[in-house]
Amino acid sequence: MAIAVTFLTAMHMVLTALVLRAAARMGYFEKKSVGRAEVVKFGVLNSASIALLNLSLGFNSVGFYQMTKLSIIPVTVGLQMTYFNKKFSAGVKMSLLVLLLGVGASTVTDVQLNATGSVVGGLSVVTTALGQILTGSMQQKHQISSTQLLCASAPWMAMTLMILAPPVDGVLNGGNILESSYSNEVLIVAFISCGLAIAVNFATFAVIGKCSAVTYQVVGHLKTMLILGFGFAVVGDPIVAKNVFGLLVALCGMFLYARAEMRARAVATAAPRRASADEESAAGK
Amino acid sequence: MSAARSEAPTSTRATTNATTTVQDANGGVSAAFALTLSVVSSVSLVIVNKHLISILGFREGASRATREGAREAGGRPLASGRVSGVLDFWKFRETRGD
Repeated sequence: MAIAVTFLTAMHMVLTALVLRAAARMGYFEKKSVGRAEVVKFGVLNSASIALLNLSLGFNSVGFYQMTKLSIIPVTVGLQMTYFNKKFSAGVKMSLLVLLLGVGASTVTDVQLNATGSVVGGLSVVTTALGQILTGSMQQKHQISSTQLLCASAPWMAMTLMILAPPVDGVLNGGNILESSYSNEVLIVAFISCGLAIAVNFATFAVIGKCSAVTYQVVGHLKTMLILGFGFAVVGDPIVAKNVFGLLVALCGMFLYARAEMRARAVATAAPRRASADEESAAGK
Repeated sequence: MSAARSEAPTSTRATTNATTTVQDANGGVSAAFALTLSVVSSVSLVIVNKHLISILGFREGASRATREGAREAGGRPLASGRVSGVLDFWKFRETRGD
């Protein structure tokens, strides 16, 4: 029996929505309402992105899927520069290039191309990049925390995923997920998965809100590299020189990105301070 | 980040960056906590999902059949190579768009 992954993701979202509602009721944070139309669009976009990523892995080879995931960073950077007036320093761009080369060398293997898979992959990249950019911009626009945004949007994301799950999982696995029966062990592990997903969803919104969509992607690749390293060190996967080289290059890229980001932030913070100091001294004269 | 973030007043940005508490009144958390939680929870989720798939006896057959069908419908292979053993982690689908 294959796993109905979109349905599992829908369950993740249902539990996230319920836990956040309960936390708000218990006074852990103040619930804030965001415009319904906007939050519905945001929820649908994010859910569509998850469904499309799942379909992308179904229609494409693992290598091509990894390539589409890698392309989320340049697409996010491009969209932010074009439509959100965001500037990236040369250092940040170079470090991202190093990171992508490293992750690509260590994860992209069996690249196979087909028309349907390419279209689905392309759509998944655009929706994911847009969804992550909006996760950050909505927090800023409405002056709300990541938890408040997740609380407002999780019910809509859960609802959309519940609607999308039967056709998407049907295409990927065949059969009807609603007619499947699962053992107690499966249900317990699925419940643990849901518990962890609450933390993942919470952290995703928080990282994008506190840092940026690109930083979130970089952290996602760090996760990939950790799993790869775990495979070499613990599971005993065969050590392939190309993979190890890619892993080291990717780690180098991450270090360079962290340094470039910190430098860019320091410059952004210092520039207005210098300007106001100049203004004060000019007024003093 | 977004245009709104880049255009935010410096004081706001500085305050945001300087946040050190784990959680504020709005349920927001510090960047360091969020980054750590993101990595730890994501890796744990991958491991749990891998276990879930192993007890379900997941075989790649279904997705391979979908792929082959799509390829036969008009696509063409670009290149091929060996799938590394470590990439077994990605042979099942992820439950987050990250």
